[in-house]
Order: sequence, then structure tokens, then C-alpha cells
Amino acid sequence: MKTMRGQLLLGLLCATLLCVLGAGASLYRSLLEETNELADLQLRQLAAALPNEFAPDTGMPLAQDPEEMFVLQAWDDAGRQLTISPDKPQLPRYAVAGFAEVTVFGQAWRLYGETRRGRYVQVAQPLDVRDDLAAAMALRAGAPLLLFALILALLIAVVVARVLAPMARLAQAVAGRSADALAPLPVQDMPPELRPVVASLNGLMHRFDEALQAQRSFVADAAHELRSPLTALKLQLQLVERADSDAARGEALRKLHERLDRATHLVRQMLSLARHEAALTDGQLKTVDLGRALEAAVADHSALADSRAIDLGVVAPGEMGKVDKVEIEADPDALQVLLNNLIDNALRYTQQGGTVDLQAGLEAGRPLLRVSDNGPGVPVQYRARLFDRFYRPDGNDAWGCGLGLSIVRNIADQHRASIVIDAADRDSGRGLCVTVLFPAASATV
Amino acid sequence: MRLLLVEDDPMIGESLGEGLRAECYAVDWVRDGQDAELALAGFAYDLMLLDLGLPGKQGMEVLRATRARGGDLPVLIITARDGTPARVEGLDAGADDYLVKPFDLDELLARVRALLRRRVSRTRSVIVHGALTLDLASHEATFEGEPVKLPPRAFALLRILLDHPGVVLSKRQLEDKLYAWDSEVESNTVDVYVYQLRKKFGADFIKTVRGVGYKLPQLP
Repeated sequence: MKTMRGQLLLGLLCATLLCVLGAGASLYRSLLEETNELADLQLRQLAAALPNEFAPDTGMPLAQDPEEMFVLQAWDDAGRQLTISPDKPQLPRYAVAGFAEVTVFGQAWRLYGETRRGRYVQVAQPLDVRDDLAAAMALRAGAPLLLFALILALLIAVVVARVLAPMARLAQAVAGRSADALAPLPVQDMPPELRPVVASLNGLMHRFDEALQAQRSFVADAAHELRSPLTALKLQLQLVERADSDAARGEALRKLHERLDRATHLVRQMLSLARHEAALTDGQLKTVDLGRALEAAVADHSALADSRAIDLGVVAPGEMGKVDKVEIEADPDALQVLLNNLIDNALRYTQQGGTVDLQAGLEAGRPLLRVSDNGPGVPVQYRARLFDRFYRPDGNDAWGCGLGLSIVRNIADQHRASIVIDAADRDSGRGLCVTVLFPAASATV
Repeated sequence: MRLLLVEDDPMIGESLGEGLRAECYAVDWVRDGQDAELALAGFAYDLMLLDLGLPGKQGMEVLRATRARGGDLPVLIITARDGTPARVEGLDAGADDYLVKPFDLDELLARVRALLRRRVSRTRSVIVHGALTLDLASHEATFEGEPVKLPPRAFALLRILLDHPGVVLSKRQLEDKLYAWDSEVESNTVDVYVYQLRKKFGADFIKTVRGVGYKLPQLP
């Protein structure tokens, strides 16, 4: 694309040129008309001015202006030609009364003829002469116009440069920025037309800045959060080294594995969180049967549930949606991660012998997944923060890295789903019930 | 020596407690700020290991409250916050030392020894008392040039007595310093260890103050 400056300059200069040409042409036309009128008058006057009696070869006083090239001719009543302009081309006798245009010697001529006292007088002038005359006059009159056009072109260039200067300033201001300096650009200095652009740029930089801050705080948080499992690992490793009996060493090694599992879990969760931050591509979307997904998740977690004597199972959708099958367009892997995290949390925070229910269904046309437990639940004041990264509500014995629900939120965002957190038993506030509501549009039924 | 460990992370707390107990420190482990305050109100600890990021009451608050009440309890901060401002803030608030996670157990133990030593104005980790030499780092005792084998608790008791020569320490005080809450205190254990020490170093090594407790006579 051409630069705006180039387009403006080209357009304006072309327009100026056209105007000058138009003005010149119309000037020439009107001058030509004037010249024609005057010359015609001259022709008539010349014809009229011919003396009644003149001898042949009498020089005419008109010869003083050779450019106008009048050819005066006369024929007597017997048809004999009386030459008047001896050194001029001789035209045939046209015998017209008044003006006429003829072509002789490949040249257009204007001639005037009249018959006076038996003598035919013919005065002719080449049209070229008139055109040249008009052109010369037009050029003389138009010369200042050309000068003005030149000045106008210069002024246009200056004005265009001045008007476009804020754009250049803006470009410089943006180009001079590093990724760290995302302070908003000043809007007030800009012409009104550019303000929306600057405002949009500022908005973009603000969003970018926020994303950058979030990224930075995540990295800082992650570095901080990695210290705890690493500390535990290092301490335990040193205890293994110090163990003075095989039994003690075995026990210390068992604990070392536990701590390593925890560090691995944290790293895996951090990767999972990062992976599900990017938007989904169409290629990742597949038709997923939510009921099937739940069954698979139950199978995956049954060992963990058994170890804690927790009753993990799928419950029928109940009255909320009498459908055999709920299918949505989703990324099956992401959906599995989402379910795993929700079920992990439920199993981890529910007391031994508790119950964890999974449910898939439709609510007002929106497909949903629900994981509810009869554990201690989360007090209302902590619920909003549950999605914060690395947030663990106080007073929990179970270890977790506080990323599970952040991952769930990221995956829900990827699928434009919303998450509702509530107590499973609203009267007592006990139990946690997490519902993921997918948009109605994602349903394939 | 009785230490208070304030650490919310279950795994770090467990491993650290084990490491410290292996060095014959009595360790009470609490996992939040409130419990730390309760523990501090109930016992005279010799040192506190304090994590800063605690649920409920933050470590810094615990530290400030402790210093506001006065007392010279040595405090060693163990935290994941490694920024210089955090170190400065912690030390200015009254901490005696600052260790950033992840740390080496040996370094932590050395720092604990240094702080405990400073408390009784010693500059080396070797205590000399007459013919007796006690190396706190290597846990070795020598008497009249000969190495003496001591059970860990007897070593710990000896160390407590050596830290307070000439001071009468009640049996209750000695028990508090020897045992954490979670360990069973058998009756007369202090008496048993005193008996063992007397057997090794002579009957007059430790004096009984009748009805009160024991003291280590100051050497002339």
C-alpha cells in the first residue's frame, strides 16, 4: 500500500495540474473566440478598406504585420485577377458573399468575400495564424497561472507534511517503546481523527500489559511455589543419607518418594495450566459424549476413591434434563483434565467414607458437568478465591498445589463455559458442588 | 535444648523435625501463627525456627509480637522469600538469622548451633569444662583426654547444664528442655541421665539441690 503522504501529494498535485490545464484550455478557447471575432472584423474592414480604384501591384499597408498573413485578392467584373498581395500565396476565387472556411494548400483558411461595384474582393487568413495568436496570448496570460500552480504545489507539500506530522510522531512514539514500557500514549496532543487510534492503541497496550503482569506474577509465584517441594526433597534426601539403619533408610526413602511425587505433581499441574491457557483450534474440537467421559473418569479414579473409602459414582441427570445422551463439541483431552482435577479435589478434600457424585445433563439447553461431594465444603468467603493460582484455603491437611481449579477455569474459558461453585447441601453449607455450564451452542444434539 | 518449629508445609515440617530431633533437640512443631503464639506463651524455648508464609497469622506478625513482649529468644527465619527487602524486613523485625528455602540441613543445623551458642556468649561450638570437652557439632565428648560415649539424651542434658554453670535448674525445666510435647516423658528420666553422667564424670560433677533440682558447680 502506498503511503498516505504519497497518495495525498500525488492526488493533490494531479488535481492542481488538471485545474491548471483546464484553466489554460478554457483561457485558450475564450481567447481563440475573441481572436476569431476580432480577425473576422479585421477581414471585413480590410475588404471594406480596399480603395475603389487601385492599380495592380499596389502595395498594401497591411503588410506590416506579416504574422497575421492576410491575403487580399480582387477580381474585376471580367474575372481578371487584380493582385494585391504579390508575395502571398494566391487563393482561387471562391465567390462567396460573407465568411467561409476553406482548405487550400493543406491549410485551413478563413476568408471573406464581397462584390462591390462589380469587383469581387476576397480577404483570407490561415486559421493557423489565429490559433498561434490565441495560443501565444493564452501562454502570456497563463504564465502567472503556472507560477501560482507551482507555488500551490509547494504549499500542498508543506501542508501535507504538517498535517501528517502527528502520524509520524505517533509512529515514532510507538516504535520507540520496549515491551516493558507500556505506559499509555498521550491522547490530548493528537488531532481528533487520530484519537480513536491512540485510544485503541492504549487499550491494546493496557491489555498487553495486564497479560504481561499476569505472566510475570505467575513466573514469580511458580518460582516461589517450587521452593517448598524442593526444600522438602532436599531435607528428606539428607535424612536418607543420615539414616543409621536399613529400616530407617527404607522409611526415609518412602518419604522421599512422596516428596518427589509432590514436586512432580506441581510441575505437571503448572504445565497443564500453561497448556490450557491458549485458545482451542478447530482441529482439537471433537464430539464428546459427556456421560461416557464421566464413566471413564470414574474408572480412572476408582483406585484412589477405594483407598479413601469414598463412594465415587455417576448419578442420573434427574429432572433437569430427560435426555439419553449429552454431546458437546469439545477438546476431549482438555475435558478429561478438567474432570480429573475436579474429581481429584473432591476425593482429596472429602473425609474417608464420603461420597462424590458426578453428573452430566442439560440445563435450559446448556450442557453441564457437575461434581459434588459431601465433604466439609468451602466457606462462602473463600469461594471466589478458589480459582486463584496457588490458592489453598487455610486449615487443610490435604496437600495440593492450589492449581487444580485454575486449570479447570482455563479449560472452561477455552470452551466458553462458566463455572458455578455452591455448597452441595445449601442448608448446612457442607459439601462442595462445582458445575461447569457449557454454552448451548456447543451442544451437538 | 527445646526448639519451636513454625512451618505450615507438612512435608518440610516433618523432615525438618526429624533432622533436628536426630541432633537431640526437643522439637515442637506448630503449623500456624496462632499455635506458635500459644506455644511461645506456654514454654521457654531456646530457639524458634519461623516460616514467614503461614496461614492465618503471618510469620512476621508472630515475630513482631514476640519481640514486643521482650525476651531474647533466638529466631531463625526459614522462608521461600529470597528478596533482599524481605531479608532486611525480617532481620529488622528482630530475627537473628535468615535462611532461604531450599536450604541444606547441615547449614541449618550449623546456624541453629551458632544461635544457641551466641545465646550463652560462646564463640566456638566446643565447650570445655574442667577435664570435660564437649564438641556440639560432632556430638563427641572427651573426659581427661579419653572419648566418652554418651546416649543422645544424656549428651543433651549435659549440654543444658554446661550452658548454665552454677545455676540451679529444676527437674521440670530440664524436662521441658529435653522433651517435646509429643514425646513421652518417663518419670525420673532426668534422674537416670544425671546418674549416668555422674557415673562417667564423678559423683560431684553434678550437685543435687534438694527439693529443687540440679546444678553444675562452677569451677574455681
